[in-house]
Amino acid sequence: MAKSSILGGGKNGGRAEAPIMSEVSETPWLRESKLILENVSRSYSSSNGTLTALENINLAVKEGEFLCIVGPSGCGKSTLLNLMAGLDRPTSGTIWADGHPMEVPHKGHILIFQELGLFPWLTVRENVEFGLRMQGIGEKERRNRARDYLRMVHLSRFENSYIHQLSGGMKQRVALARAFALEPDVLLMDEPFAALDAQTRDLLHEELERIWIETHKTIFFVTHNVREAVRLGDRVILLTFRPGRLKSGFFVDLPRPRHLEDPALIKTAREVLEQLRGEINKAVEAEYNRDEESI
Amino acid sequence: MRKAFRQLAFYIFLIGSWQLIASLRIWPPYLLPSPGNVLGALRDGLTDQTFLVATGISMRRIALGYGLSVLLGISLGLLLATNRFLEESLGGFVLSLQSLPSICWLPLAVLWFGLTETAILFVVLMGSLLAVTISTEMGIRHVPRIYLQAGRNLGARGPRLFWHVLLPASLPHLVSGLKQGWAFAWRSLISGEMIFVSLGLGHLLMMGRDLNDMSQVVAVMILIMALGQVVDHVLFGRLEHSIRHKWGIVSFR
Repeated sequence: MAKSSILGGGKNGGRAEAPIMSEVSETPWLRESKLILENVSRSYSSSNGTLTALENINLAVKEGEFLCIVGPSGCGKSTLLNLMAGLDRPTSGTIWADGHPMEVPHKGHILIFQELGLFPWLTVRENVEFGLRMQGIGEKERRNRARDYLRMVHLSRFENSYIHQLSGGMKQRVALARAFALEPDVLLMDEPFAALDAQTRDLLHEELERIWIETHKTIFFVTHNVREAVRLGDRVILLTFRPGRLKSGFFVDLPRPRHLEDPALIKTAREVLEQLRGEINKAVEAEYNRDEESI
Repeated sequence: MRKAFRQLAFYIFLIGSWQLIASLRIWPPYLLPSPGNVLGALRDGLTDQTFLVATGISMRRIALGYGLSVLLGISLGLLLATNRFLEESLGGFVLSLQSLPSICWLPLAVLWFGLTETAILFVVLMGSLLAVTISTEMGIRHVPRIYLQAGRNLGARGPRLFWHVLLPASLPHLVSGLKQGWAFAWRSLISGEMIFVSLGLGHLLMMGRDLNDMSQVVAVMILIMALGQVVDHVLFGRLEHSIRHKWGIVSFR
């Protein structure tokens, strides 16, 4: 695989091998990229020894890119997102945002959690307003902005509902609106649609794609679902199982809006999955072994 | 509707039996007054305003003492929940203090502050402070981490994180502690007033004893009970209802 450039890479049909970047030494990368991870590692030490969650991650994300990260469970995907949101620091290496070493925590990097973390004591609109309120934006303006974004996710009628009154898909949309209302530099998403039924997920894929086309935000989307990654991403990057390292990357050149049933998409997904299979097997094996140990 | 009816029926039965036993004259009225006697005492007390004045004084004391204990208890609970060192050192001590009946503080309070308002405030404070502290600490510890992460990610830090995320998130837990604290405070106040402080409802009880006026004693007891219930409803009923409504918790207790 070519490792000469981060953003380049030849195109052939539905997918193209996308180089991941081996080193960040030249400054032009800093200027061109929204986000750069340079030799980023994160390990956790406990009484049982040291667990390396991420090892030597080198990655550049272009402004406005929709990047999907795929890996088996235990590949450090959530760790990676926490680092990029500034909720955690790398053990070694540097994360560059807009050409500067990233401050912790970073204001413009908004994370949508797997469990969403919507606040049950606030109404839907107050949830969307929360981040704006923390920025000290006046009541009237934040109300208007919250309403705009609730309209964007088709939840205007529910602005005064409480979270427990919503369905799973609606909660996801509130989380989307809450994140987009802050007009983030980078939107980080941690398997946000994993717990949804297939129809709802389809619908949310469409909405997310539409919103992304409208706003053109940089999105960093983590999932264990290869088809979801190919359905959404401009580029799909595979992580290895423990320690998490970058395995390979693919550009997905399929036209938008995309459809999950599109044969070209299925074909691409199969190719990506082929690459991932070895890692999934390792993850499964590790889990079996742990089972036997505990017996 | 059915519940209200049953409650009404129960009270009619209770008062009826009381009236019946009293009218049998097994015990003289100065030991067992009839409902009518007690009602009379209640009316007298309200018309000559002794009950109202005593109620006013007691309510003022409890408002001060309980308010102070809520303020201090929440702050102390927050400190204990967020500071490992404090939790390990002070945490166990707080738990053992909690097992001390609050009236045990009275001798100490009298020696420190004399027969003053401060002494009774101190007893009320010590009665409810620890219940509030412990429930705040537990409430904050039980806040799911995801709310904190989400709050921080959306830009809430320091005091704002506490005020806008931690506190509301721990409210369902906190309310039960505030309720318990209220009950403790009310008990401490009445026992404190009975033992030494002039005026107030507890003092009124003892005055009834000194005058051998059993009707007044029972009337004041009923008043104390009713006040406790009303405040419980006004203060906590609404709060609990609002939490149930927002969080969608079906059975709160």
